[in-house]
Amino acid sequence: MSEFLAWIREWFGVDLSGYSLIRSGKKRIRLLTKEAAGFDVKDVIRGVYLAKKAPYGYIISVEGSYIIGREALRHVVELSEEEFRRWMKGEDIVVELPERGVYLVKFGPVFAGSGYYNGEVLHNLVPKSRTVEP
Amino acid sequence: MSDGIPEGLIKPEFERRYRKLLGEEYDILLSFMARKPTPSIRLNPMKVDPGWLVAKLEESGWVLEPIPWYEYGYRVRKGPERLGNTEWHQLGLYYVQEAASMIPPVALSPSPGERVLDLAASPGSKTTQLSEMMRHEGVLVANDVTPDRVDALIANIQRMGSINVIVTLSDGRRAPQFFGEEKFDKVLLDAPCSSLGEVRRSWGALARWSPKSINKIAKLQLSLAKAAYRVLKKGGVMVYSTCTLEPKENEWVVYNLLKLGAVLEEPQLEGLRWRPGLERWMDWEFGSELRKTMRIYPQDNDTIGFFVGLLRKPM
Repeated sequence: MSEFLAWIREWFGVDLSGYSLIRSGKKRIRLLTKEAAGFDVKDVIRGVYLAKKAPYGYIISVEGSYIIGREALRHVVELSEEEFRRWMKGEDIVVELPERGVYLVKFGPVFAGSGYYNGEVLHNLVPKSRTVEP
Repeated sequence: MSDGIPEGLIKPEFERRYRKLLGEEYDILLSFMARKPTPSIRLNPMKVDPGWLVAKLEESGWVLEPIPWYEYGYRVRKGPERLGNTEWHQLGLYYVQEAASMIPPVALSPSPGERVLDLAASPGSKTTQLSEMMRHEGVLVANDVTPDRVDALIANIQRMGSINVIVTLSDGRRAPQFFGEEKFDKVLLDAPCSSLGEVRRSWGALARWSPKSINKIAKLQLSLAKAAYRVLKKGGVMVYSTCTLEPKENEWVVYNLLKLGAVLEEPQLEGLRWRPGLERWMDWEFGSELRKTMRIYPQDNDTIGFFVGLLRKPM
């Protein structure tokens, strides 16, 4: 977990110490309030899925993009409305960004998950279940 | 054929009972039951400035009408055919939720920092509304009884970003054993029911209606309601709600909670038309206190039918 927190701090400039983070399986991380984490009950699940380990860092979920994006100092890409609508259909977007890596995607005040920029294209990491069907 | 409802669906005993309940208004009830309700959405203020989203939707041609009893609720007078297949829905900026279904959380009125239980929570419309009303502060436990129902609940909690929610899987009738006695400040029991109020969305409830099935489900509802009451702290409040108009599933259940010492309070909801609960029905004398419960008929606000009772556990 400390590796993930350090990555979030380094890559986005965000401190998540106000929340509780828990592991879910080998790769996934969930986020919840500290109060919900401290409540004693046999649960099925708590909070929301935040991120998943990937070779290039972490895939950030749609909900994670809100929580992190609102505080992020860097690595947020703002799309035009036309690009945003294509993004929400699951398409990759050709953009020019400062460096390779994971970016949070934004349109106006709205966050729309994350993508991986390989130097040419922002690859869409939004799961199909959260995209818009044609 | 009666007012657009397929022939044979309305059983003679149903007609006898509802004519007795509503008198001349029975035909108006049927005419509303025969019409699909106007779809409605609930905006998520924890993810987006509602004013921004409303402007964006209207810019795209949507025609929205505010729902008076919940500040983030809107009827969609004009909009896309599939409200669940838009960018905004997929990002969790709104939930497609019937206008009447927004009432129980408003009646419960949870505050940030409280410990709240939604005992029969799936698919999560009210859970996520409660979480937003709590501003994600405090603890909200969302329980349901089968893994299938819990899966739908988890998906909606994720989509709406409800970070103060804990999902549990247990038989609500055993809530005191599972959670412990007097554990929560507020409890919502939106009980499984005969769904008569939902006839506007599907004829199924009308087809299944029978006095025997009503009696069977009322027993389950009473067990759940008693369990919900036991996990409520002294001084705490509980909402008992259903989407049916059957007195046995509504007033009768609440009447039995009053016997345990619960005290009825009148919910405060702006702009909602409702009728007081029944004081008597068939052989039962419920008493005048039951007038504090809310009967919401489809024709009152152009919604599905609903019943809401707000109960306090004395100190």
